[in-house]
Amino acid sequence: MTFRFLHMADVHFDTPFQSRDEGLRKFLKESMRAAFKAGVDLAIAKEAHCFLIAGDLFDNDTLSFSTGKFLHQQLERLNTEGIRVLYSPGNHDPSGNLHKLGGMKWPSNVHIFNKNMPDTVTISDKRGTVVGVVHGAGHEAKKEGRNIVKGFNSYVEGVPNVGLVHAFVSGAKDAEGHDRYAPCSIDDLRQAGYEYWALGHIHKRAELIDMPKTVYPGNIMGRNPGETGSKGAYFVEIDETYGVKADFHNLSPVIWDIVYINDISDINDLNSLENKLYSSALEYIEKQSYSGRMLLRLVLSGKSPLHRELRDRDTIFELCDSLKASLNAVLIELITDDITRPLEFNNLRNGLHVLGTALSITEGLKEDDELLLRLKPGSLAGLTGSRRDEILKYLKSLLDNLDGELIERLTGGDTSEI
Amino acid sequence: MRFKAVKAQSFGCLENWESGEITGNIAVIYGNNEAGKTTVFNLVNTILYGWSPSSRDTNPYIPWGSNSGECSAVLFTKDGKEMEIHRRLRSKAEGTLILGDRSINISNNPAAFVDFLPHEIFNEVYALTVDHLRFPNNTVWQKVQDQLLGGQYTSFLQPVHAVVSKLESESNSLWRPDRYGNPREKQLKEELKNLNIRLQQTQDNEKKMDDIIRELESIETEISTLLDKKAELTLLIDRSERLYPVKRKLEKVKELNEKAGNIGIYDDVPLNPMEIIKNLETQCSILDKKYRDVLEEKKEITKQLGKFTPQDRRIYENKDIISPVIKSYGQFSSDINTVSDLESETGRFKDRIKNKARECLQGGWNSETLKSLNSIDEAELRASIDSFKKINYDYKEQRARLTGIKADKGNPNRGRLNNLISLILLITGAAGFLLSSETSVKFVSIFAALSGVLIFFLLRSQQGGTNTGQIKEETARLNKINSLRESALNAVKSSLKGLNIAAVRLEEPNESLLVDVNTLKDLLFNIEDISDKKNKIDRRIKKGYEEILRILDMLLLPDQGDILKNINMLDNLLGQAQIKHSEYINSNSKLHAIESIIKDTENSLREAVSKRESIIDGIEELDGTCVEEKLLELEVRRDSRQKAKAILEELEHDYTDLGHIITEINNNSSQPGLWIFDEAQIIRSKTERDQLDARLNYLNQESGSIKKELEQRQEMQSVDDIRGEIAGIEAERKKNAFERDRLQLLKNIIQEADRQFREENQPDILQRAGNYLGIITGGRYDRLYINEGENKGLEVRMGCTGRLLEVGQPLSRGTREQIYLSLRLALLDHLDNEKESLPLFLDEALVNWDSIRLDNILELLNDISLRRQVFIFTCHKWFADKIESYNKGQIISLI
Repeated sequence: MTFRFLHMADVHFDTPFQSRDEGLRKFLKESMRAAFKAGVDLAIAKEAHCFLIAGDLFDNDTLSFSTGKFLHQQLERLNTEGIRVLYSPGNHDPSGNLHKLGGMKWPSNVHIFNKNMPDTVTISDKRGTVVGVVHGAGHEAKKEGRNIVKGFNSYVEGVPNVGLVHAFVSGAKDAEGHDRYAPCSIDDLRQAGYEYWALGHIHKRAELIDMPKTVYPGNIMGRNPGETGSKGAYFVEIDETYGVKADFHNLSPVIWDIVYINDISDINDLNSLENKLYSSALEYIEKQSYSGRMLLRLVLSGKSPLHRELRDRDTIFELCDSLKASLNAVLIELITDDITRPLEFNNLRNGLHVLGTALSITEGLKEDDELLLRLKPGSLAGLTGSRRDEILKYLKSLLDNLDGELIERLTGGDTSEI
Repeated sequence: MRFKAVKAQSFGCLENWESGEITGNIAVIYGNNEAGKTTVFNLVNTILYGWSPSSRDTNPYIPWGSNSGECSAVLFTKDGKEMEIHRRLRSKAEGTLILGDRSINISNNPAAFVDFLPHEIFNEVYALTVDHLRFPNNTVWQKVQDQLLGGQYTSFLQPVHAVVSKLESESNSLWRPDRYGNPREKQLKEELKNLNIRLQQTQDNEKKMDDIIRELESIETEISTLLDKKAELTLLIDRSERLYPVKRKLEKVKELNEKAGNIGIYDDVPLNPMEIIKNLETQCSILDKKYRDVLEEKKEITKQLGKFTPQDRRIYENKDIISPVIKSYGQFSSDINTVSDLESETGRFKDRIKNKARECLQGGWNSETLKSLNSIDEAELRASIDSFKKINYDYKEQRARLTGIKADKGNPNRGRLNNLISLILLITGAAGFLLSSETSVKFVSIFAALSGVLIFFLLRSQQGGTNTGQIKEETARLNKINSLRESALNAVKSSLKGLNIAAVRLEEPNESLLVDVNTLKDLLFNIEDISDKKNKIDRRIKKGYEEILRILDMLLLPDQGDILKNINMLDNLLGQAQIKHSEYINSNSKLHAIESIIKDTENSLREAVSKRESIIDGIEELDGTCVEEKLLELEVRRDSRQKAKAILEELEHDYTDLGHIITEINNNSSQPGLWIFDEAQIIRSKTERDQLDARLNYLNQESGSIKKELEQRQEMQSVDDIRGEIAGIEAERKKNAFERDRLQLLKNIIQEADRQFREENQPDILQRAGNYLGIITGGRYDRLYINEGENKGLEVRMGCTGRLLEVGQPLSRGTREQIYLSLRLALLDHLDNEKESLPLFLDEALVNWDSIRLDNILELLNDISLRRQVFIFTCHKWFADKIESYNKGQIISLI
């Protein structure tokens, strides 16, 4: 009997989508629900035996009534189909805080691994035949620092064994930048001897190792420009010979991504620029074979004769609006901070004028901490820390592309005479 | 460096122009306006820095109609090297520097010896026009200071103070450390404050929704419990309501049966014995009275029977003979009337026949008339009259014909008319023939004349001898017809059989004679017919009367002398006899009936008495001291039994499964909790159920209102949505804060750069400018200073007193322009100090100066020209000559 299950993680229900656009926030919230529902549909369609959620089902301690109602409906659908739901809480939704989700009612088919001490659940098919076991443990508190994988139960003979945990695997690709909660190593995972490790925590999809098959499915929908690409869940089948077949399924109706465009120096008018942006974006989308609606960030860099236009908010808004329509995108962001004038700064930097002196100063500021501190604004709006290194780090971050701004300001934007 | 020669092969308005060898330190480019003085400056500019712009399509110095520009110059650098620079602009800008025997491709790059000085600065600083020297007004003076003293002497740079001010303004619009203004940060904080309030409200709302859900669940649980309880109670009540009435009736049946006891033995006693006894007693009383009444009635009937007498019986028994006689009354009455009428009619006809006879008979009606009239045969008379009428007609015709022939023979007018016609035709023809020349007319005329002659002779020949013979012949025929007429007339007379018809009517008898004869015959016939009828009726009346007399005799009744009176008498008597006979029969019938009633009454009376005694004997065993008490007891027991039976029947009717119900009652009665034993308990249970209903209604309403509230609350923003918005604002705040700090840092950097530049460049410039100013003003002003104090600006020192004056009002305009020129000249020295001294270009800059100042500046130019080549552009001949004489300037004419 093949053991079939769906593996998802990091749903982060009720994520506050950072935007001033109420319509966009609402759309993204609905999209996240649609992604989860697509996962449930998939599990039902493929007659899964169980539905694994590897932590961070919720983004925080508060659960909106409507989300609770939605989740309950979806879990009930699985219950109706006789599919068990195994949920291993993560650092965002530790079991110790689940009581705060006052409105959430868990159907009878849901098993929560609400202890950091591992537990084992036997999974049977509709006829009662045991098809597999799932070992799991959950985060009890927000900052679980222990290696809970090490304590997972021993291998159960006779059926496929699956581990379910929300954990940070050291050395995993794209793991850096994530908090090291419930840390473990690849060796820890190997030693358990399970056929499949259903992990959660890293939002970028990753298949760490094949033996045992160890998968971060990523989150089911990107929530910000940093969470790019197709998002979804894995449908896993472990056959009688313990062969593991794990297929990724895109669930998200929306896709975030970033397209970098740096070859616009020969584009002299906005129409041509829009065409360039459109073709670059479209080429990228087609190359990635994306099927969902896009939330695309276009990052422009390099020299451009249109540098002044690309600093005009209205122009950028119109470009975004037009591209959004032509690409049928949900959102288009145009980042032009790195666009510079088509100038050789060195010539100006050596010039016998205030601008030359100013450019020399900015060049020197990168190395001259004392001068940087001397030129520091009397009060810093963007930094609350008072440590020297913090201040210096912050001040140096302000220097990015300051040369271009300096030239822009002192020349009033008109460089025809330069 | 110094230019030795300049050449424009093709540059602007200059075509194959050469300056010739420039030998002096001061060169005067002389020419009219538009002659190309500015072009020469740009030519020098291009030689040194290359083509700008570098496209021949946009470069203004590509001559009209040409697709290329070209210029060259020979010059010396300060190290004494002579070189030639050649510039050409075609599809691309080209540049060649020839140094000795070396040719160096410099493309469009500046010459190496001017690399230290940007092109735009050379443009801005090294060429001075009269406009450049005009001291600006106060508001622009700040810009001048920035340009000259702040190193921003190039127009592409914005004034530092303006840039700084703008940066300050922009950064303050984003964030301020103080509470002034309304920066974006302040607005966002306000928005955040509101959002946090909304967040708290939303969190409260979410919490409230959780509470509502719990409350809803609690209500639904209670509703479910109450519904179960209600269902149980309803089941109990329904069962009790269904079974209890049956049970109660069954108990009643049992009670009634016990009360009825062995009532079966009294089933022979009538159902209502007391009433029956009373009825029987009443019946006896009635029968007794009735018996006496019918005896009396029998007596009366017997008396009535004697009224039908023997006379009445005789008449009645012969009613079949009398009745036809009575019925013939109408016939006899009619006959008598008819006889009377016929007699009257006979009289009227006799009068009429007499009158008619007087009209048509000679001597009126007499005894012979009747005989003749009866013997006349109408057919014969009609035939003789018709024969006469025909012959009489022929006679009249013949007579008329004869009369006509005779009259024709004696008429002369007829011959004259014929002659006249013939004559007219003859004359007309002759005249036509003679008078007309036309042949056709002549023919017609001849024809007319011949016709006249022909007509005359033809008519004359016809009238000749015919008339006389014809008259004779016709007269003979008339006589013959007349003879026949006479015979016919006689035949008519014969047909009348001697009837005395008037003679005149026999002259020409016709149909009227026949009519008269027929009329007389008809009248006579009517009289005879009436007479026959009357006789017949008379005989019938007589016969009837004789028959009536015979009947009267048989009935022993007297004759009344009149047939109709006799019939009336018989009719009256028969009517009376029939009435009496009917009464007799009726009374006789009553007598039989009365006798039967008497007999029946006697029997009934006996039977009633017997029944009463039987009932009283039957209840003898019942309790009671008298019959009434015993009967009451019987009635009570019977009623009980009846009621019990009725209740059972009703139960069986209402409950087809009564047996099962009785079993269910028995089963439930034996188990506690399954049964409500009485109505009070049912009422109490119903009340309890009503209370449950009320509670359920309340809970359902409460549930509905809570659900509605829940729906309303669900429409509110969610926590995550507000947090998203807050995050959006925080992101903007962060971005704004970063941007503000960046702008502030930028401002500080610009201010620092401005300070450094001033520190590095201002002292040298000011010192040199002071020296120049002393020369230009003849020592009146000798130094310039920067006031770094509160009133930041430029100050000038008076040479004689050492007093410092702010450069501006109230200094004269001339003085200020001298200061400005001094600064510009000092700036040149500063810019190329220890480098190649680039030429100074003065474009009509000095033409408006008064002679003293002009002399001073020309003196200064002599001094300057020792260090750098000076080009003076002018269109004024006097000025060119003055330079030539005063400064040994070399005039290069463009004219």
